[in-house]
Amino acid sequence: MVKIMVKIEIKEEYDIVTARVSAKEEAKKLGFGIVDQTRIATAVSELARNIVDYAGEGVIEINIVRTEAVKGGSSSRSGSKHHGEAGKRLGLEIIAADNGPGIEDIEKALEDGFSTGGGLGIGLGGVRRLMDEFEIQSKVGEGTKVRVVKWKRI
Amino acid sequence: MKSGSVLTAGSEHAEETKRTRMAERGERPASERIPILQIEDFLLTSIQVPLHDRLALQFQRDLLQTIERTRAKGLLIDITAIDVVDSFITRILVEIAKMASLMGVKTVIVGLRPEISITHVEFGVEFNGIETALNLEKGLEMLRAWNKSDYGENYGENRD
Repeated sequence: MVKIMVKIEIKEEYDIVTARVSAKEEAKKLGFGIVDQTRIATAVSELARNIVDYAGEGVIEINIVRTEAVKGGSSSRSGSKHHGEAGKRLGLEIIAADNGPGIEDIEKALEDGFSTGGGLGIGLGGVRRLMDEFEIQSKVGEGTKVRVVKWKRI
Repeated sequence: MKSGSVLTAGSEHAEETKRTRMAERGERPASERIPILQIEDFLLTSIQVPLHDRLALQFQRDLLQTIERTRAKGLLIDITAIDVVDSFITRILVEIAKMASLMGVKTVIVGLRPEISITHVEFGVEFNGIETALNLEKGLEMLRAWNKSDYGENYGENRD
């Protein structure tokens, strides 16, 4: 079950601030603590900057995600983190999408120290470390879509 | 004279209205600056607004010019008001410290809140070449100590 909350068009630098402020507000409303709010805001800031730097424009979507109790109650990952009883979870999902040039070598883009945009090159790898789930789809010449989720510790 | 002052007041009002309209649209005036203050032999600056490319470049230029003009020995940058330390702001701060260091000035970043420190480490960025201190007071102590030891090395009693 996904509830779309906020959709922010990213066209220029100042939209990066709008995106991370909204993400932080939504995280706060959902009851995330200050550290998780900051992790989420940092990840959104980085994803939005990638859109501005590489694609020129794109969209950031912030959604609430819920999962009902599933068999065994464990997450799909190797999951050492505790996600509450019977696998019922509440989280914040961020989707960053653009129709930019796409990423040629995704594995390489996730390595620390890799950057084609003159940044520090820790962007995507760092985002993956800050969030609980991380998915990326990219096709050269068509665009990039990154989906991340932070689950609330209940 | 009189008409002149009326004109000035009018244009000030127009400027104010323009700024308000820009703020309503979420835009920022082009003249936005980060203030740089002097305390003892050091420069003190506090980043209170989100940095963007143009503002960051302006800030770097302003800082280096102020260092040249004041012959400051150290630089304190307070980031208490910053909500996110992503790779962009880290790069800007590291660059400033490098540039200041080329001009013989030491940089101390102060005011990293706990959540910022945690996120910063997990995210994997590093403040290469920058010293940090808990708050303004500690940062100032650090710069004073450096300044004193530098002075001691160069002009101390043991000098031939």
